Amino acid sequence: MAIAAVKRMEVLLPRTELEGFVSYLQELGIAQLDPLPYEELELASSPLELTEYERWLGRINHVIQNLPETEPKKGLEKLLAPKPKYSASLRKVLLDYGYQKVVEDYEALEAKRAQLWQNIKQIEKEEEFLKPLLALDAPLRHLTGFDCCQLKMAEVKREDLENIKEQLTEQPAAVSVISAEKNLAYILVIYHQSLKEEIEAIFSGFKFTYISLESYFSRLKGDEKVSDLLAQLEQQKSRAREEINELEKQMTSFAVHRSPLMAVYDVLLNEKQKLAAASLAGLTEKTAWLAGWVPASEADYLAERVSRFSQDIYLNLREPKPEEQDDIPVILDNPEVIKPFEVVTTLYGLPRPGGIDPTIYLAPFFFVFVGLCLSEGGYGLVMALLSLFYLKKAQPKGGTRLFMTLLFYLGLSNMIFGTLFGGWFGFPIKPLVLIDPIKNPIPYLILSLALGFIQVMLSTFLSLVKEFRRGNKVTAIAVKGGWLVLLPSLLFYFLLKQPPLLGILTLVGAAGIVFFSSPSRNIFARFFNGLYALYGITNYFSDTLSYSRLLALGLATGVIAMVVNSLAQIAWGFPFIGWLVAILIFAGGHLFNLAIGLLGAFVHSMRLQFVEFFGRFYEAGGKPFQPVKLVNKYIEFIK
Amino acid sequence: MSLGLTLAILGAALAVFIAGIGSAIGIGLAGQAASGVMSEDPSKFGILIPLTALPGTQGIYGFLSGFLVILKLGLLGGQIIQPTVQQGLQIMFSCFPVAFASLVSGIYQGKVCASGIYMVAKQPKDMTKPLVMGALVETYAVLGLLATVLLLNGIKL
Repeated sequence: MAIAAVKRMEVLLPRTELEGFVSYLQELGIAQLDPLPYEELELASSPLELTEYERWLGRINHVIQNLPETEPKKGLEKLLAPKPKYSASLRKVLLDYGYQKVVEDYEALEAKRAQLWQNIKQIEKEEEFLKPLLALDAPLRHLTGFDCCQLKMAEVKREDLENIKEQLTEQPAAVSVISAEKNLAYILVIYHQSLKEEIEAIFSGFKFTYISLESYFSRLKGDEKVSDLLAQLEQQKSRAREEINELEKQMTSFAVHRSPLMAVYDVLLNEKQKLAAASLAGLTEKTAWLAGWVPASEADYLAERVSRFSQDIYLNLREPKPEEQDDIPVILDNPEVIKPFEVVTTLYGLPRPGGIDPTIYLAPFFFVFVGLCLSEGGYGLVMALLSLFYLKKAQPKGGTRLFMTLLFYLGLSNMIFGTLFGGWFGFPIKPLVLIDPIKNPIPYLILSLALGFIQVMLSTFLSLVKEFRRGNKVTAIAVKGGWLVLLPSLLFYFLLKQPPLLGILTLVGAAGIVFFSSPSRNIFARFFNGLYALYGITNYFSDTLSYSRLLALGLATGVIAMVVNSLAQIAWGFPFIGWLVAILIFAGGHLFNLAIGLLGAFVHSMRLQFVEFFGRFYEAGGKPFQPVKLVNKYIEFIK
Repeated sequence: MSLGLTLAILGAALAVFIAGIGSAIGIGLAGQAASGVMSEDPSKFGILIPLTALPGTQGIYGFLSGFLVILKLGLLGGQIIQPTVQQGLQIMFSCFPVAFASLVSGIYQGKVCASGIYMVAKQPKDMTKPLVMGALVETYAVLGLLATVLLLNGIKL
């Protein structure tokens, strides 16, 4: 039905042309390639080596992410901006952009900058080390020690300071405090060589660290003090900072490469995809064999394009063989108006090849159900406007476009059904309201159940079609047809003062179900199994009742909208800022109700399709059609 | 204030707070799961919100029923209706379906949504499937609401 016909594609070509051909298929974007039974056919499969591409993709991406945009865009504008467009024929040219050099240069600058930061950190550590000794107002070369005297500096605990001083004064040694902090003190000790062991013995009783300026002594030029050293370090630091600034300026100048790199990224991404696709080919010494699928509607176009592309390529397009039935990819093919509803079908799973595409049947129900569940004209208007705005501004493609169009439809649906059964932002348009579900829920309930009954009947009819196509013609007509006769006549028998004709029809339907449900030849088994099948009427009953949720959900949105309005009305009466509070309550409340209501309406309408409608006839399990095509992350390729 | 009116108000209160408890527990369960998943991948916030919010509808159904009772009693201004004791009891019992169905359905929907959230953590593309699973549980709260609305509608004051 609405599943597009697909043709099997077989291509035989010289190995040398393989990559070029796959690249061409990418541009056409209409053919899917499948793996082959290589061993069975004694064909070699080509090995796949993609790490080089992946590495470059990673490096380019890193540069793109770090470069500032040439024209920065903010918030909404950034979100909605369409991708820049490039002609697909430019792909080769873009690869010659010299991206390797750009990326390597940028990475070199980055590495330099990292090194400089490292240096600055090192300098800061040194400063930290020297700062406590700043009070040491003597040229450092005087601290190297004397002929007979030892000179040591140490970091000790503040609380031990007095103790150390006391013990050292008993010896022929001098101790002076350079500086003291909250917990630590820095001391300078001078003692005679011969006392080395005694002094060390004293120190070993405390927690301490020697401070050695050894490494500086060799660098000394004259009478530098600690303060001079610190000044030097400060200079080095600011020089490094300047260099970093310079480097960053250079790095920013790379921003001109940003858009070309974005294009190169996508080209490389497609090169990688191309290799992956080409590796599906079966190879002999000189030739390559590709197999896959093409939509039948594109078959002639493909044949024509391929013959124009090269004379050396043999292309065969044929109907799929019965044994290939399970591998056929499924393409849903619906009229433009119905297409957005494919979103719902796809969520459940694509139909099996040769099965029924339910999209066109569920579309009107889904449209009406979401309208009835939300039944808010104002919210519908908001949804329709927002989705239209997004569609116009961002020009999304593929799934996003379908989903947004679906939202637009559902907005329209709410504008219709909101006017008829609800209101606009909680205010009903009285002359246009058919049924007010708050005052008068019963007619609304009947409407919901009637719609449900129609959809359940439709699903029974579709299951009849399915059985019939499978060749079970008798079961299809007697049993499924039996239900189709039984249920409506039973319903109207009770609704319309029990006319005998409808009673007879009910019995005829029941007879079909009783006598043809079981395939058994034993007449009793057949009869009793048939009676049991008749018990299935409870399923039809409960499925139909399940549609009563349309009333409950429709009521919910309407009442909450009313509550929001009455709260806003109460707030309006506050002195001074009442109007502001009222506006905030109105906007916030309706936004919340829209979000929750839409979620509920969407999910429950979907459930009605998946559980109550699909249950009788629909079989998912089809594989999606995945053509070899140009993919994009940053840019868009155009023909 | 008459006993009838008091009973009717008790009904409205029960509908709101018992259903509210169900939703609070349900969202609590789903919210914990969602936060756990987001600790690994914060970018999932957007797609986890609907799953976390789904058990919130039960509380709304309870509130809605309570509001219908308030409307029926004319408590929002205007003439307050004084129901008889029998009428008050009728209103109170009418509130039971939504209150208790929402309580249980809210808690279990929270559990279903929490496991749905774990599923989304592994298969981000399948986010609608757990939503539909959750909607299966919600059905009974919806039916409870329906019964309450129809019952309330049937009581003539």
